Amino acid sequence: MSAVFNYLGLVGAFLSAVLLFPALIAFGSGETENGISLVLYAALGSFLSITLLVATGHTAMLLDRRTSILLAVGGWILFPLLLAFPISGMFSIDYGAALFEAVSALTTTAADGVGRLEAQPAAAIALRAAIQWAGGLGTILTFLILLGPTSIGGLPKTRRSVGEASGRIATGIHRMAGSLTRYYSAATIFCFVLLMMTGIEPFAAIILSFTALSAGGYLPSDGELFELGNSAALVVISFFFIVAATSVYWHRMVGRWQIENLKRHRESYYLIGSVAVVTALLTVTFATTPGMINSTGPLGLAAEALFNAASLVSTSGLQSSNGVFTLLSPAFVFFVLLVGGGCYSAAGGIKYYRVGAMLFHARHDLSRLIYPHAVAPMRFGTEQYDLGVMKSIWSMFMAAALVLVAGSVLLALMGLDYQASITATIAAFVNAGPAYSDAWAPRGTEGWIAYHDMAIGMKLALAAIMLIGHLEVIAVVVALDPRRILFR
Amino acid sequence: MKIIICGAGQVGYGIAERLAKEGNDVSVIDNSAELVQNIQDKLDVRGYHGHGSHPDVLARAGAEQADMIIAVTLHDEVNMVACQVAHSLFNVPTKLARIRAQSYRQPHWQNLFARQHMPIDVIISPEIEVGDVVLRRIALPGARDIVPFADAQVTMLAIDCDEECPVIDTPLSQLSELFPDLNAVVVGISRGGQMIAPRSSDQILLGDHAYVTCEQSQARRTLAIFGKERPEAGRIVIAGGGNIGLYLCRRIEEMMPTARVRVIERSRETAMRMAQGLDRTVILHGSALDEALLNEAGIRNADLMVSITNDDQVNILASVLAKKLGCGANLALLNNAGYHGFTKSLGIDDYINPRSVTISRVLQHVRRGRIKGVYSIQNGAAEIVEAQALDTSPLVGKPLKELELPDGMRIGAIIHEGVVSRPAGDSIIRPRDSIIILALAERVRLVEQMFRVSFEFF
Repeated sequence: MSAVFNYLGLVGAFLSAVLLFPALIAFGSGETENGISLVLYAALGSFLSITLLVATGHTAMLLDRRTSILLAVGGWILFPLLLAFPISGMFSIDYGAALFEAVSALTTTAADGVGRLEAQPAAAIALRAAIQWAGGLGTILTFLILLGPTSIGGLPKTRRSVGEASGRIATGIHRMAGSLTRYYSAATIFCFVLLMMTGIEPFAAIILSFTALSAGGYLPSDGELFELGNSAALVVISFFFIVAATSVYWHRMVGRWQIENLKRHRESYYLIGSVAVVTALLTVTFATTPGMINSTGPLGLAAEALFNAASLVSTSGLQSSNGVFTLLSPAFVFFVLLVGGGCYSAAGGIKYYRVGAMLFHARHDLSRLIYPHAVAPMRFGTEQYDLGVMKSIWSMFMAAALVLVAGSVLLALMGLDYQASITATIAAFVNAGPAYSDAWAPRGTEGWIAYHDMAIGMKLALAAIMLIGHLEVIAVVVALDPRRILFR
Repeated sequence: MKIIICGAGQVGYGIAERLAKEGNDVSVIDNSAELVQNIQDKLDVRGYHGHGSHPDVLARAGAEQADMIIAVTLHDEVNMVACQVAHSLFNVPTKLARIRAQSYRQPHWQNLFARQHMPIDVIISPEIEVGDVVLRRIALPGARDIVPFADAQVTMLAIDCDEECPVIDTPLSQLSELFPDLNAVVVGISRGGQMIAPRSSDQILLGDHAYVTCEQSQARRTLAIFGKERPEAGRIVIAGGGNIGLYLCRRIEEMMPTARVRVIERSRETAMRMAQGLDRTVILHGSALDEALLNEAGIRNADLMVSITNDDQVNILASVLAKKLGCGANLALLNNAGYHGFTKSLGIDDYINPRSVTISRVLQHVRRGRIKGVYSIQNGAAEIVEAQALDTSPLVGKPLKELELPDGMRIGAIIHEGVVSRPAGDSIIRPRDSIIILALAERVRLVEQMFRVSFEFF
């Protein structure tokens, strides 16, 4: 257990440091009280985290399967509970609503449960965006360090294997986390600089670069994204959405120009191909929608199509203007969202790797009708999968389907329109909060309640779905059968 | 020339046989006393019992005076170490090794065989050689054998002259008149088991095997003139999924995007390995002698059945069965030379002898002078040689009709500055021209001398 506390201490220290960013914004915006409050939260968090680190620093840091799962599930429940306090203070909302905001931000769902951003302090908006940014990094690290080695849900195994010698594993994890944090931060700064170059004002550029890198969906202010920027800004954000949705392993292959590995890799190419297809589809849709081409011009139209496609595929859910997704078939939109991004990325969803594996497996089974003696390749790009992996993937898929059904029924029972319940459940599950909006509502339909108008019960149910989706239903499995997972 | 051969198996024996026949000083090393005794009894070679990579054994075999070492034992690592020891301790100038594991041949590891690491001059992979032969047969199914020369600008085709052949009884000189724009020459004819280098007045008879050199782009037309024009095999069934099968399927996937290939492999593990390495090929697990499995592979509509398992008998039976079930043509890998004689009577259209393919490749590098390529035909009865003419060569500077080439040699093509031309009486060979020439076994040494780099050259 000491390893769990030690790593919780590390993450806590990092999140405490992240709180200093909104504090700086607060001081810069003349919100001194908010700034002091955030510094105090950061100091308290740092004190607790450092205490944990000091208390557990001398003990063995062996991350076995049980510890890894416990840390992943425990951490993603504990930190929103803690981060809800500063959020509650900044937005002046009750703890329940703040918890929804904390989960929504940390899981990069970006479901705005507050509303009326123009009335909110800059520090609060920056706090939420910064937590979202940290959540994006935390997502990649969770899968890279904790869940990847356990192969839960058929995840492709990472290089670290569970049960390695404690000293080696701790060094490896620290090195991996350090280099990934540096890379993620550098990419965010690069995105910020590019957005500034496109003419976006600094505060908006910061919030949007946080959103882009984490595949989140928070905006710096009310209104619609295309009003904030221009076509170039949309293209920049689209590029970083794709960066956020593709595997960090692929990024490393590209960075080191490992030709052989790049040739064998598949997932990221399918993902980029999907963005291209959705972009083409949206371009045609926009071009045939009366008035659209005249208002933005062909290049602006293409940029907007690219932005919405990248947002959809990366499970950001952000739209260039409210209701863009409704120009497409809802089944198509939610299918793309459910598929999600790539493994070891900040994106949500089932992941291309799993969908690819299921499709290959299904194709193999179908081909057996023609060739009963055929031997299938059983691989998707660089990843090999045996029957055990396929079982894990199918189990994860079935559990996800159950969560979606249960979630939508629960929300409907709480008073949300049933179609709205399904939409909200999917949006929460794949962490694409902005994808749920009343633009989907058939004309004259009631019951499509905005996030900020939802009752606390609905918000907490959605927060639970966000966490379950974010942890790829492992939390449900642990909750249903803790002995089997944690003590086997 | 003093040559050491490590390995007295089928390939080692075949190389030793050919080199000894040509008057080379051959020493053979093997760790099987029985094989060493056998080779000493049958050939004019010295045999040494021992491990081919051990310095003391190599020293006993005369490595200090050796001009070349040919390491063709069953084990890649022994072959590699034998070459390394021959280089480091005995300074043997030329080192050839047979290396089968494809891991050593991966392009990104090719630096392994650099001069400063493991200096092996020539690496021969029988699987790749055999795979390339099969590929060429698939591309030109009418020919019994296809060998590229001069960077694939020229092709040598071996053609069976049967009832379908419209040029039977036609003098060769008349062929040139009938097809003046055809860059093709009949360089050799195997008649009744005997190899001849024909003259222009000779004619092709029924039952001959003609060896024709032609410009690569005219290979199909040449086959059509000999009545052997057949479309490229598009539906292929392969029996056997070992290294050759995997290499073959990979190359087919790369080169023939429309080809449909089905592989039947007995070992599940090998079948799985193949499936993981291929994208479009269907791998079936089971026996190639199972009629139901052959039908599942679509043998009735297949253009070609390629049997390349490790078992000659399986290859023969699978080929015969495939033909019986409706397959268009078959090609079998036959290691045992004893089976070669009756393939036709069994209904096997064509066969590949991996041993002769490997031996031919090895011998290519044994030849001296400016010889760039060699292919041995009819079990060594003749060789097709690609050589570069030097200023000092007796062939240079005179019209061919004035050269008075001895019998047993025939020039098939002249490549001047990348342009292939058919040799005629007034053709003149210029320095640095490449020449494709057939030489009967007894004339090979003479061809070597014609293209040897002499002191005059410097």
